[in-house]
Amino acid sequence: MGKGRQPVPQLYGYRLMLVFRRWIQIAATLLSNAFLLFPLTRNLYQGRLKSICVPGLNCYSCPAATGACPLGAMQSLFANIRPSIQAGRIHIGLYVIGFLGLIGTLIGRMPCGWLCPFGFFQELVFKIPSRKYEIPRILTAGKYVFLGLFVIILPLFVVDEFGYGQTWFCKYVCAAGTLEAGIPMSGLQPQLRHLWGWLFFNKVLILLILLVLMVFIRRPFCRMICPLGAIYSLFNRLSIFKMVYHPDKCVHCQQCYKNCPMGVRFYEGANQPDCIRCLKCMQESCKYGAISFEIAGIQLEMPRHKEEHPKVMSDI
Amino acid sequence: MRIKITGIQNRGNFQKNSHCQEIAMPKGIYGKINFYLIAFFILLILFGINTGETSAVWEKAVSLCLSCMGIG
Repeated sequence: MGKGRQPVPQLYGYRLMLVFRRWIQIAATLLSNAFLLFPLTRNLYQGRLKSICVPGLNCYSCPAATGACPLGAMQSLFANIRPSIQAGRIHIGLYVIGFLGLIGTLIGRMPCGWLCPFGFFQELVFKIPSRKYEIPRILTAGKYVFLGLFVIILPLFVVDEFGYGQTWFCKYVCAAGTLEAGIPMSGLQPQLRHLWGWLFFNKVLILLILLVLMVFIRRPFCRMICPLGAIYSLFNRLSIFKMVYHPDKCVHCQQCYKNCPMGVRFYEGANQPDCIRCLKCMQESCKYGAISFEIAGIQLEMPRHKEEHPKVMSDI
Repeated sequence: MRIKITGIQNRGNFQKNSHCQEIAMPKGIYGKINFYLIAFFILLILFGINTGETSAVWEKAVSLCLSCMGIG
């Protein structure tokens, strides 16, 4: 099963793609938060772009945010579903569900690895030198609990006497909201500090715990909590963009697992729910060509850089 | 032994490794599912836009969300 095989050369195109990924993450973070006049206005961006959802987790109450958080928008629509139907409007979240479903069908969980500002932030924090730990696999199911309970069931069914629900995940859990909105807006609008209560300190505590975990554990929020990642992960096996595993080339060296920002064991099967398609496993990990990807069933070959490994290339 | 149904890779073959047995699915099935899903989700987006959901999203996004901040 591939043991004793010669390593194939690292692919030049893959390496370019990894540098490219970092730049795309930076660009996506900046584009999602491009309203740089907020120190002057001391308020949120009010333009029409905010009716468009961004693909990653980026709080729309961040003073620099230029788009809407799909998770917040979905909860908000679910929470207000009864009053809007009573008012004769069919605002049941179809726009956001369609948006997330379309992205999921096209590229699966790829936005987590390429476009999500909070995922990018976690990758940066994980670079802090320290001893690294792994989480029990069972905890990765937590994100589905948060999706089902805090994003769908509670906003839909726990309502006040007027029929209004709450955005439960934003209110009680979302660390991105605390980091991107709660703390900066409290700085910009000092009157908000008088409203701080147990809820705010509870969210700050969650953020602090997650910040510590981010140093020691790979992407803890994405793997255990993020409902947006949970939605995208449902499409990983169905999406047009797919990872491909070649078991005949795999030597089970586990390098893909060691380098994966999500701790995915690729040799246990391609397109697992936690795979964010960052393509790191192809370049930094697998030297045996056991990992590739395909788009709409067409496997893509990246250009090889012959000068880097002339002897090995001549063997191919 | 766990059995996994996989996509287009290893199509037409039964592949075994030390962890699982992979059963190939016909190539066309996922292509059709993808096509119908894309069409379905585009319809959802269009329906949402038509019913004014984008305005509801905008109204929520431009107002300060106190619950997102952990205040309200």
